[in-house]
Amino acid sequence: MLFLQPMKKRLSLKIALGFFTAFQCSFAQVFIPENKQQILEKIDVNYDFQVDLLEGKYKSKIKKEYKKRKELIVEAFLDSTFIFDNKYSNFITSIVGEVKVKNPTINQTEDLIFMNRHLDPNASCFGNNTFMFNLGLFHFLENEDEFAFIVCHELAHQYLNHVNESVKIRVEKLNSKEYKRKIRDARLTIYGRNKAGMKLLKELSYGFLKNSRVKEYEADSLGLIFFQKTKYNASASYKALSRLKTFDDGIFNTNIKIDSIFNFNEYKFKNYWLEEEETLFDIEEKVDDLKWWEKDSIKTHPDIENRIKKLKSSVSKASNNSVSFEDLKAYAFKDQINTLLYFNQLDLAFYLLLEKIQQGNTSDFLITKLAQALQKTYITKSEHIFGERIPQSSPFATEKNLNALRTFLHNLEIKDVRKIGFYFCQEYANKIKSEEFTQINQFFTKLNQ
Amino acid sequence: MRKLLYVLLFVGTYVVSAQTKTIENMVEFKVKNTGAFLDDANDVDGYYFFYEVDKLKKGMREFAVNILDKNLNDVAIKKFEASKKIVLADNAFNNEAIMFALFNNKEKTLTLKGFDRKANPKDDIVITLDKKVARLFNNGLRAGTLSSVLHPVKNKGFILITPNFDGKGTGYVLDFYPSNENVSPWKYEFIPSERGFHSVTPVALNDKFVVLVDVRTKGMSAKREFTTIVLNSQTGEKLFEKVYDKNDPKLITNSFISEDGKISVMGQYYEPNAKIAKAQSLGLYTEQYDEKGEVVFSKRISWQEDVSKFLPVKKNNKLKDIGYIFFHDIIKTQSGEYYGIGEQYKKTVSALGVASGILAAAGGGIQAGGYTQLTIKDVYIFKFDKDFNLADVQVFEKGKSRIQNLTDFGSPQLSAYMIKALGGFDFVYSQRDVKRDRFYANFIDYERASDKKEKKGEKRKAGFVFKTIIQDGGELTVDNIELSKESKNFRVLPAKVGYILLLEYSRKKKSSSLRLEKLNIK
Repeated sequence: MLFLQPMKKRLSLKIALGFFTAFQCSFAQVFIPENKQQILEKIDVNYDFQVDLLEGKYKSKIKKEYKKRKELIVEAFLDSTFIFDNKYSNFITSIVGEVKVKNPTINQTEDLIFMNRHLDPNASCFGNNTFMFNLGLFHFLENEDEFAFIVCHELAHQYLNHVNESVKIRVEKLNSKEYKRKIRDARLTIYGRNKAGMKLLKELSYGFLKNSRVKEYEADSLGLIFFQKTKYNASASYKALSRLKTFDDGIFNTNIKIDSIFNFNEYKFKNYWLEEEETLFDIEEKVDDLKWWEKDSIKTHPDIENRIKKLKSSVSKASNNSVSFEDLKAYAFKDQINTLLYFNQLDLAFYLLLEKIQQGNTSDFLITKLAQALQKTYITKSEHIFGERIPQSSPFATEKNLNALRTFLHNLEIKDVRKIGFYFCQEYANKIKSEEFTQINQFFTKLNQ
Repeated sequence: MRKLLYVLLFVGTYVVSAQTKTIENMVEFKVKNTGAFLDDANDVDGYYFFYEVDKLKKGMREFAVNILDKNLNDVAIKKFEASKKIVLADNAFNNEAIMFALFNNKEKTLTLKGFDRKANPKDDIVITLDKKVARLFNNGLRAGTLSSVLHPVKNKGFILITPNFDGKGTGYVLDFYPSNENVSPWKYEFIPSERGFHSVTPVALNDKFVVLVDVRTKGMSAKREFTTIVLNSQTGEKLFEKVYDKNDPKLITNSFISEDGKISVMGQYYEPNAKIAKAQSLGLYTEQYDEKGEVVFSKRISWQEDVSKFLPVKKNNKLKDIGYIFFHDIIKTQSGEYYGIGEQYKKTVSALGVASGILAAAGGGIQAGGYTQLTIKDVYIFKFDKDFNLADVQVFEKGKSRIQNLTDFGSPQLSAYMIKALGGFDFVYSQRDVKRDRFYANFIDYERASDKKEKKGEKRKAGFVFKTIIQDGGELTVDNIELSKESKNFRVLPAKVGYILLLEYSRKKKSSSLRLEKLNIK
């Protein structure tokens, strides 16, 4: 926030990342900040502002859609989806500041920006000056420049009023005479009514989603114009997308050698922990005779390949090098691990920790967190809630490495976790003296007495 | 966590997800049945949802079966057209194919609809049923009492069992339908020459034998006559049968086919002329036959001589302060030991029955139910060595369940059989994990608040508990799952071995969800 103080006056620019003041240590993440009420009020203000701008035939119907949107944001906020930390707010605030200063045509009204705790590299514009960036972006992007392009892309969506436009188009279409007639006809169908209804639903959805893909190209183009006016390296735009393209083949690409990490002299690894189960069918993918939806037609976004091509051809300037991003990336990694453990998303936590440990990194943090992941596995299994948090393995999983890890975690008996936890802690007991690790070690020691 | 979610939502704009409610409400799929594919060890191979997709012309409907694997992954949706009159009677999976039995009461047919391992449909098999058989099916399906008619033979085919009314009594027909070209179909027909109702259950199957237990009942009589019938599973030819008649009455509960081709049967034995459903048994027994039916091993464990070494047995074979034990299952482990899974029961006076009797009498009426009840309590696990010598009896405490008897007449054993038929015991089912040589015996228990361990910050609350007794490496341990917590209720459904399927209902959110949870071996 400090970074923006001088500009705030000049540009009336305020970025709300929870208006959270105290720096949070990595073990005490804040999901509902002290200024909760203030944020809720801000969400209301944004909603009222958008509603005031409404006019025309379908005003009340669009208002209803805006209300649903507001409720969705509030629900996500109260459901601890967002994480509040000055490190992230300062980082994004500085990017937004840079973009808005260099692009004065962008609406300078107050934005509400949330950091979502999820691991996937995702960002969203809600259309009411509200944005969301996922923590996972720090894991997948390489530098601040790439992150800045994502910010520009989202600001372009807002600038072009894409979301509100989509709501308007949808409401108008659904309330048009033509569609009302189609709905009535489908409803009056005696034979094959469900098919007629699904056909109509399909027609509507495909149309809306096609429109959405067009809007993504527009946001890329305008986002690039904003981006090229900033201090950031323009090539980061297509590099960010290229990086995401590589994730098309899977995000969890490291083969985790579970059998060597959890193999102890006193408690040998058992091969059946990795055994997959027999399935009903010998098929590579789901067989669906009804096929209501076609994969390509329900994409909200166009192919990344095409977007990269377009951006590459538009980039005219090679500019500054990126600022240091590594510290924040490392900080976000710790935050991710703590968040995953806090919400018992143990499969993802195990994967990220084991991936680093396998590379030879045995820092106190990684070892302590892996011990904690084992402890949480023991506790959730004993309380019979492990299955609620960790998805079962699937024969059609595209993320093979994560799937194998899930198979392993589900196959472990509670007595195995007790032993593995104990011998793992013993291996590092002389090296790590932190209170957190000592407590986990004591936990497993007591269980094994 | 799908890949699409990560990549395609990247830099996404917010999209209002809801289409018009009008269209959504118009599209409605009626779920007609749901169920699990169970194998002979009660292991779940998968689940299905059978639903009606659309109304078609001329009384036809489009149906679909949505098939989930044992991990609840949605693996296939198969559609087909059929008459609106069809009812799903049974299902099975034999490792080569999935088979559904669809009953049509109007046309008096049973259609076997199968799908191979690639989820491709197989040719339908349409069986025309005799009027009486169709009536029996129809009544059984309406009342929910139709027992399993389709039995999988692993990697071979399916056996369909239908009643047969050609003789003096009610018999049965077994039709074998192969699931691959290397096996031939066969038929085994039993037409009784005497009155009585014969029901038949395949208790053990392999590529050599089909072991059937035939139980003959006659009217309301408590008499039960058991016969073990062994067929050649390649041809359907009867190899031998063992009749346990009035001179040697026996109750058969289990059968195993050992690797060396010997057939074992297990159960309880009685005094000559005893009426099985009424009398107290003399003890447990096992017999082993070769493929010609010659007895190669026989052993009896009597209450008086053997069980009395572990539990106090009275002269009438009743257990002192315990009452009786109802054996639900006898399990043979891979290491050759046997475990009898029993539940303690007593016939007692019902306070509720007496009170309502007094009220009914005061009102000039007659009470419909009984004055007595069956009180069900602890679990008793009998362990036998390889030679069927009783090695140990372990008792697992369980809360008292009281079930009102349907009639006050008859022995406690007769009441126990009636209550068992109504599913009144706390035993739910048992499962064998052949690979790991374990078994799971599952019960529903009711824990009083005072019986519960106090946990920090939690109020002790009475409620139902799913209790599993697990045998692993010769040791028996218990795992408990509370079935009502805070604002949630749970129902337990069968799952793959070592797991349960929890149907969770949130009273607060008014929503249900399904998940698998592993049973814990401590």
